[in-house]
Amino acid sequence: MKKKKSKKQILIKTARGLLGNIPMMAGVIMLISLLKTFVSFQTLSTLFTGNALADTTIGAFFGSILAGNSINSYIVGKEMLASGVSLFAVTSFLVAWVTVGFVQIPAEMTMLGRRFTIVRNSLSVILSIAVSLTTVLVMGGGIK
Amino acid sequence: MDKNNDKSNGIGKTKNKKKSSKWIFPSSVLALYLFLYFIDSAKTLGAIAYAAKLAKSIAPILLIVLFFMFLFNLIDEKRLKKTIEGSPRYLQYLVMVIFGTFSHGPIYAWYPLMKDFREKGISHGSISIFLYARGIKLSLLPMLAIYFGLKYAIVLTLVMAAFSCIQGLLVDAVMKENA
Repeated sequence: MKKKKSKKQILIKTARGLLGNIPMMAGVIMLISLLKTFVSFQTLSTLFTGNALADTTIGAFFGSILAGNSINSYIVGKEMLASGVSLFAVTSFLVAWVTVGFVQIPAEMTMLGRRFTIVRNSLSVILSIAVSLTTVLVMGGGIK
Repeated sequence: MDKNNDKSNGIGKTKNKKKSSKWIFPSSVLALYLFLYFIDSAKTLGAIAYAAKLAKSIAPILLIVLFFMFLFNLIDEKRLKKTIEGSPRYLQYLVMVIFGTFSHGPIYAWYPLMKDFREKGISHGSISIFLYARGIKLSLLPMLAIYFGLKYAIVLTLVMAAFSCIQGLLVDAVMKENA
């Protein structure tokens, strides 16, 4: 018969499980820091074309690559808007920033499985475009 | 007996392989740091300082995750499976939207808890809802409103909550098909 584990044993097992994932998390943290230090956010806004649909896709792509605190995405998004990038592109950028994580993919694959990670992240990129289109259309095309 | 030994050896090898594969990604990043240090040492040192700052800010979140994982591991697996199977899907999705919306910290800090969820029978779709709804930052809503307007902040938040459920449905459909 299986013996019931004590709370202490469960806590130790849980802590061990979490500690086992620390190397992967450390890798993600280090990669995010590299991106933040080496990639200039300001230069990103020069890469947009002016075509709403293409820019929405580009916005989703950049949001997927970049990671970090959401406040940074607001600052970059605001700068993008100020330099004439469409709200469609800015919205897909903001949404992909928080829902897609290219940088975290190796860690996600190890912990949650390869197929799930690929399906989830691919759908998140597509949905960031859909969220952008829906939001901007509900807003009537722009921010007043 | 031999068959059992073979089996246990096989499991041992898989575990060792998993353990060593865990180090491939962080080691590659470390190698990238070394390479970049020779190109631009000042920027690389800046990245290290930023990584240390980031790690420090994540530590308290990991304690919260540990607490949730501990609570979740206390739940009887069989009973949980029965409850999940007995509850309607929309209710599971709704719980995950709320849980995801109120969670804090970076997405990767929550992977271990999601792994536990999956092992206890929670669907892939529900896990993806949690990870998607994490993108809704209620604490940053005032900031989003200041930057882009209150109407935009509210609309974006609601649309994201709705699309988190759509993603859950799609992920469940795809993962079921391929299972």
